[in-house]
Amino acid sequence: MIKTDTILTDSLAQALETMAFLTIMPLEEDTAAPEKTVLAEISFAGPNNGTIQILAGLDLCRILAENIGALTEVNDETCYDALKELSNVTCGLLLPMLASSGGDVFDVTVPAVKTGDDSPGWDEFVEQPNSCILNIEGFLVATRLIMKE
Amino acid sequence: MALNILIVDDSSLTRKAIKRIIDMLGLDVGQIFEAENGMEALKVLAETNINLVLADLNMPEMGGVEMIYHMRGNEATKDIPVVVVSTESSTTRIEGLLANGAKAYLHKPFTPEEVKEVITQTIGV
Repeated sequence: MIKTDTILTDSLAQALETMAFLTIMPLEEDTAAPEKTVLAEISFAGPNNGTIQILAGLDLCRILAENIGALTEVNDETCYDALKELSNVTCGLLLPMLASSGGDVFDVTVPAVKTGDDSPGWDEFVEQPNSCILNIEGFLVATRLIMKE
Repeated sequence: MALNILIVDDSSLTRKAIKRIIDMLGLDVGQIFEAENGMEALKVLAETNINLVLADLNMPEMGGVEMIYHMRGNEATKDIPVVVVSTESSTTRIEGLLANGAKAYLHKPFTPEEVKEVITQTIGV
């Protein structure tokens, strides 16, 4: 039995620490949800099929981009790129946890990002089944691992 | 001889991160070129003298596997070492890559030490 409720958080935590030197912290009640959200999405197919979604605010995406690229100034496109790459690396770390052996092969889509009006609102996203809210150093992020038959 | 390196990744941020690490390694690097996908990379390879390619697998338009296939079929590029830099974890697929033209494999997320090790081992310095 695969513990799908924890493997996405574990994979994301490892990706965040290695790529961007950021840590998942305990949730605090007074942390505000992001107003402008960005949604990164990546799907996989193989012995198991599914989709990973990560919803974050632009402020966190900016910090991700600054830390990954050691940059001092980043534009919005680079912020989106940072969340896409975070979803890509998270997926790469998650798939071995789903696999029954190291030889299992998964096909993975190129990560995509939705911004502005195309990105779901925070409340709408976190009300969906399997959504998980995390505190990344004071910034709220929501994730979903959607497993398909 | 200074090394000309080509970084192929659809993430501009990842290209920047790899470039920054290479800059810190203290290697005798000439120029660092960038491409967003395999198609762009083949164009750079046709126009430039590249000594080492670091390439992602999962890219739009042309991925890393197809790029390596084209490189190995071209007399001018068949001997250029390619290090695959990817999130791929399947031993089946990684062994297939190494058997079909990739010189080495670097797993994302990577540390600067891992980048240094794979580059120095690949180019033999």
